[in-house]
Amino acid sequence: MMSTEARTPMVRLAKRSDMSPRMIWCIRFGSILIALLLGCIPILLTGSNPIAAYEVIVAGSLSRPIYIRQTIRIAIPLLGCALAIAPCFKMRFWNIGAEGQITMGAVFASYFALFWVNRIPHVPLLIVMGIASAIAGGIWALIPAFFKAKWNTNETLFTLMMNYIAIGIVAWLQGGPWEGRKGSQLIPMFNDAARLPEVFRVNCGWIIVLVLAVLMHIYMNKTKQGYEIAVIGDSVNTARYAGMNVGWIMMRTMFISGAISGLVGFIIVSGANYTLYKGVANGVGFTSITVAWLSQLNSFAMIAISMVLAILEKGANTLQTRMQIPASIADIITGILLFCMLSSEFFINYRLIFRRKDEKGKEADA
Amino acid sequence: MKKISFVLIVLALISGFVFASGSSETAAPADSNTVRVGLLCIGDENDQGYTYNFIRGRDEATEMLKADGINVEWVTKYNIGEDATCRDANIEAAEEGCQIIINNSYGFEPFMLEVVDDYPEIEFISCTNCASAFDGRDNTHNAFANIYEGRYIAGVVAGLKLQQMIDEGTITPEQAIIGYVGAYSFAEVISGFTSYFLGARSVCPSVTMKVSFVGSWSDATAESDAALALADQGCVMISQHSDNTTPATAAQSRGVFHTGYNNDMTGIAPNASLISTRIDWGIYFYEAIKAYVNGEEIPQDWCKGMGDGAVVMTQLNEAIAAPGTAEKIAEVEQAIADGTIQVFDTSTFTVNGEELTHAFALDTDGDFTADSEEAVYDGAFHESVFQSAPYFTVQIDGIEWLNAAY
Amino acid sequence: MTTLITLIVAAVTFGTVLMYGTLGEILTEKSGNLNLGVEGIMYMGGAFGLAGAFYYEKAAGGAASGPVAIIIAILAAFAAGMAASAIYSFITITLRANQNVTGLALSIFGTGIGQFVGEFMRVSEKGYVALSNDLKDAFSAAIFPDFLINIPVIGRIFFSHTVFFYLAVLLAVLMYLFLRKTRYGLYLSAVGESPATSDAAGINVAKYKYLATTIGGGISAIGGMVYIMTTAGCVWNHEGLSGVGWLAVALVIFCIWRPLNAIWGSVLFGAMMIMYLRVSIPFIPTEIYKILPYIVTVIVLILTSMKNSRDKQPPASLGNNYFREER
Repeated sequence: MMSTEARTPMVRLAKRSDMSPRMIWCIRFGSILIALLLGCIPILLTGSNPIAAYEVIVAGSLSRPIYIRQTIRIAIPLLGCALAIAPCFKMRFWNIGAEGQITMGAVFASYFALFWVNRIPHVPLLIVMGIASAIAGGIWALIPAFFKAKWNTNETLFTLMMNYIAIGIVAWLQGGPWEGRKGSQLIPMFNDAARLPEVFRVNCGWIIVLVLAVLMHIYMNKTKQGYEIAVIGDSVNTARYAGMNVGWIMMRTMFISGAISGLVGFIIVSGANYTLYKGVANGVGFTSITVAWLSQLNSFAMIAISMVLAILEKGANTLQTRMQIPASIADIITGILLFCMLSSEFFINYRLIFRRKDEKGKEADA
Repeated sequence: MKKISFVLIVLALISGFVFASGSSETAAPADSNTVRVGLLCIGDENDQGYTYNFIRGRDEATEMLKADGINVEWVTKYNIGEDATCRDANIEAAEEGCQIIINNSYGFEPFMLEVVDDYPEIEFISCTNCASAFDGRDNTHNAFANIYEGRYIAGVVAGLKLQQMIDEGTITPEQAIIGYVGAYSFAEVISGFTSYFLGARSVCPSVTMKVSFVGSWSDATAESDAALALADQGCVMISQHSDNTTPATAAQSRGVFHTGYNNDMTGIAPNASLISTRIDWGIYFYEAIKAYVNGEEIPQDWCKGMGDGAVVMTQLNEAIAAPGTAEKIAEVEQAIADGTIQVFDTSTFTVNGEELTHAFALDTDGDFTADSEEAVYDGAFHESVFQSAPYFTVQIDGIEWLNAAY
Repeated sequence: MTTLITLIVAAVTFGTVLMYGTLGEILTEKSGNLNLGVEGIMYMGGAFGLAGAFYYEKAAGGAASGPVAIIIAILAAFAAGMAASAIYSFITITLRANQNVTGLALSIFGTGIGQFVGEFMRVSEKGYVALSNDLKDAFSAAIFPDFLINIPVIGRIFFSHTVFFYLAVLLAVLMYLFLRKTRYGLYLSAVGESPATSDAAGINVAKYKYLATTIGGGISAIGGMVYIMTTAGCVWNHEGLSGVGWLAVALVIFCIWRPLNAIWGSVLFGAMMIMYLRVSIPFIPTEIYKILPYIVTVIVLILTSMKNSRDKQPPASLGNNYFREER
């Protein structure tokens, strides 16, 4: 570990911003390679051949049209939710409540899917479900934003708690008012009219999130609101001096973020699961945070990274089937991948200046 | 930046297609005497209960089929959720060349049904559920066994023990309370604890029962907590309809007795567990797979009981069971087999103080309330006659539901 | 009355698990590190704790002794937790990555490792993994003699618990003394409040952060082990631990970062999580009980921020990394 001796540090750090884009991407790719190498360790422990295992992961996620469709289905919510989180994180508002915002969006979409399905025709019903989910997710996100703006309540912890409250509400609905067969704790499957149509045999959610990716890119880079978010992210005080209403911008941004997460909830229930249960968000809200962050909040990089994680998840499932390696290997490799990519940013942002003269000390430490 | 991201995506996709070539190894076996069967499980063997019981059935059926010259290649997937991951697991098993896919948990069925139409040539089996009767498909099947018979006998064993404690003065007749850890307040569970209770009351008239629902088929901690809570509320006998062994452990730690489900739990709780009952899935797997290989139909809805060996009792824990229990078990088994004992004999229980005269068995229109086939006739409620999945949902007198919200 | 006593006893069992998770996270957060990986750390603690005891018993055979198994399980869990949070520390302190994201990554990673180890043991043992009954009893045995437990009312409330509970209480008291009464504890709090000032005063910020975070992670991991060994029947359970780590994070807030509050706070949270099995109030769905801890935590969070009294706030630098160059 460096710089533990305060007096004469072995290595000094200097911030840098001069690295060429090519070098940056080399480092990032290098970190992915290192992660994949490290991922071999648990595979070797099970007595399997890591190269064969990686081949199965890729084959299991991309080798057949249906596998690709399943992989994309996993990637859709990851991407959508990463897009939702991007503006908050840009603003340095640590919204880790996407899980709950997805869930609340899913609840409101499900309400219309279950109880209005015979009263509204197909397309309008889907639109109503989408709008309802966006509003629900937005309001769920607005609550912590309000307290943050008003009393500076810690938003990380607040949004985290809101997740479990939302999940508890679904658990209650599942066993209570929305239960299908008595005692089963299962909400009935949605009627066809409440399901998202498929395009290329994947629910059209992929079109929605791709459009959102473009819109988010424009919003963040070309609009006044996007600029305000960036200013607050740099320095709240600068924003205040510039006359911005920081609290209002926070609430507005969180509402947008929550609304997109809610929409993702709608896509999940109406396009993939066709019913509501308490695990509806299934960790997407957390994983997508890492997707957003690793993409440097860049909408287009998120597409790639969410695909990579989806490939891992789907592929690990096949790995369990074919090689009896526990499917939890996906979580391990994802974790390693995140660690490596998080670490790689350090080498992009900082220059290491080694102390020249005493090589002895260096050897002693090593 | 933008360009590079696009390059990334393209790379990712291309690399996928490059690897795609190496995937043809998973086609269904060519040999006509070899069959590939998928078994999708809600837990794994570590539960030492529900899923473990399926794995035993799997291994047993494999041996039996091998004797008939049939090889089974199993694709077993563990720890599947009762959610959309179940649909993905079904697709996975289908794509990996399984010819029969067995879903082992009740909640899997709706997600399984999302897949079945894409694979008309594959036979899908949903254990313990009931949709195949009315879904109009040829490739969906259900299966269950008359576990209520086994539970009735387990109840008799418990009742004898309670009566022994009453006779010896350890407890008063009013203190003969059974605590039952149920998963959900759901037909299969209600049918199970009612038959258990009736078995116990047939030999210990003063017995009453408290049921606590944990809201999960498999949640080791909640099951343990529920069992402890029941013991703390005065229950001196614990039984369970949940997947794990923790209720047995909990009973032992509180010094009360226990009867189990799915697996012999006397090894885990030698001072508490008297006996267990379990379904022998090997019988069904053998029949179904054999039928498939012979080109016959897998039964649309399969249900067998003790007489056929589909429901069995585990070894009685003679060290702590009441004297004469083994003889009584043999007697009741015989009586159930020849029909002299009807488990749900309507003269043995009341509902709100009155005898049960009417209850429907089947739900034909999908609104989740039974609306067809009278189940009460000839002085008894006839369980698992019209479909394999239990349909006894009546709340009888003497059983207290502690938390009915599930 | 008996209902209340049994409720408290059961709440303590569950609360003990939370207490370790919470105490570890309090120590971590005191240094300004918000480690959201507690869930993963506790999973790892559970899996490695079980593995330690299991393989010890396998090696020792019939000669396996309860106390040794308990010590091995504690050490194995502690080591696993330390290793996990060492990764976190290295990435956030030395490599300066975002704490929230790193913590979430650790959650994913730790959950994966825990499940992997659990499943790996099952497969490699060709069946299932559980301890013998004697060792199980050792883990859940009360440590005080019967005559104390049999004292009416207070006997069961105070003396009927496992060794882990008393260890946790001891740990809470020690942590309180450390933070309030020792120089190092005060330095640690200073690091969490204002790393820049501490650095200027000559405190080695990185060292304090590293030590607090890794030791804190180790303590949290013991909670995972206690969970598997006491409430989950000494058997690995795939979904078993889900949510306990997050509950511990909530409890840290509820305790407003004070170790002594963790003692009663964890018992209270433990009670809320199991109350639905023991006290049923008509018209209140049982699921609502289970979200009570989170609602209460939110209220505490709001109230403390509204009052804005200095001693009830999160450590001021919580969640932010310290860059000396930017000071």
